[in-house]
Amino acid sequence: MRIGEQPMEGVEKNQQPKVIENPTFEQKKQEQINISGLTEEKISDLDDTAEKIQNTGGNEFSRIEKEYQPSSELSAKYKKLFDRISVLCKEKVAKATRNLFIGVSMFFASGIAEGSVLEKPMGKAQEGVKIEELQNTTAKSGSEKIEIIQKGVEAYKERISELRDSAIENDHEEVMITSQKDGIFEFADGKEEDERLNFSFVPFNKIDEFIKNGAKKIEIIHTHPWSALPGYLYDKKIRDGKPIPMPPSVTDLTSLILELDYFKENNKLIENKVIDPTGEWTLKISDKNNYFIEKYIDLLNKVKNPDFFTLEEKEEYSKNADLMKNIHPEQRQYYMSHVREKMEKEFINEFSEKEGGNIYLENFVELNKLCMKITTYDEKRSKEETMSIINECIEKGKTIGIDISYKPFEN
Amino acid sequence: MDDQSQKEIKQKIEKIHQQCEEELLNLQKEQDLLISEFVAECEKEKIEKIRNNLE
Repeated sequence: MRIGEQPMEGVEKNQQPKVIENPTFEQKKQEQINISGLTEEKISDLDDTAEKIQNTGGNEFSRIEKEYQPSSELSAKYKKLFDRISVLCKEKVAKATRNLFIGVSMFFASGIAEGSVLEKPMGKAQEGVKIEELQNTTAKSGSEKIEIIQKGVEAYKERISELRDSAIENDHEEVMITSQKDGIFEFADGKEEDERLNFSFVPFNKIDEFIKNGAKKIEIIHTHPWSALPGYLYDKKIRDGKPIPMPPSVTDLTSLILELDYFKENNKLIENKVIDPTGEWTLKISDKNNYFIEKYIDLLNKVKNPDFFTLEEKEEYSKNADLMKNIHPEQRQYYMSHVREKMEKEFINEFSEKEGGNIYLENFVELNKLCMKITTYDEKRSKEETMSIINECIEKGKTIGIDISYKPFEN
Repeated sequence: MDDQSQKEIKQKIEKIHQQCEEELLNLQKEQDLLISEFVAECEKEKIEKIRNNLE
């Protein structure tokens, strides 16, 4: 869920493609790796280099700490930065490892083309559950209910405050899902694992569960950590500077449409929020009949058609499936460039069907540019100027049927 | 696999390897800068402490 992503259907959030591999494929893959011989050697070499950097960082950090005994604040601040470099080292090696594998396999593509099958990537809609049936209230005595509601509201506020702290201090996204039923809150976390520091998945199954249990309102809340701001790691000025608003990313926006397509009428119950260090963003589809929303769903349906991608494209997709679930969506596009081109072409065609249809696509692109502008660190930009861009974003969102609002934290 | 194919695949592997090495090298440079920065900040804090004690 980061700025700068392009819509990549079929590889969104929890809807990970599953790969069915047959022994022939595995065998051939292994043969290819063995033939080159060089691949493992190179991976091991890169692993060594990365480990050396990580060790040096760790040792130097301990040495400096021991020698100077800095304050815990200073120590924690730099520990986080050293840790970040260590994680980036791992990511680079993982990327290269996969590239090496792809490089070798592509060379033998004809030999493995029929080896793997891509499962339908999209989830199944919960059509059987009707809102009316879900809205039965649970009877409770007055005072008991008030107490529970008050506790729930307090817990909710506390969780939001914790998410804000996380957006300031942590270098990974966090996800929380809340369900409200008769004023009673339920919470589900989606904390990231160590190896997935830059993005998060929304567990749709948890939302299904909340809906089935009669939720009247569900919030999907995730953080945009300050450390994910472009340039954070390399620019001390940003690290030491005051956080700026970090609006929803392209994936956050298109996810709203994926949710609508998945949850159908129950989507009315769902609201998405982004917590950044400065405030709270709320996102919701305001007009599901907006041309942009309708066309985007048409496009999703086209992609869901088993004939949309050729066998070779599916094959290429499958080869990357393991990687896809372990890397940030931004990087997925890099590995899926051939599919991306096809999708972009389809995207343009879809919106060109009607005269004036392109304007919706242009507005979507404009909206993303505005969001990126907000996250471009500019120390000279005043608060008022930032608010003015945010307002432009809000207005642009309306043109494509998406309601965006931003509420700064009071302190 | 003929010789030409072997050569091509080796070149591909070398290129990917080299690219990653460069990226790792850049990270190392960043880390070196971070080490100097950390030392400088610690020095600053140390001086501050001494000054406070003197006052």
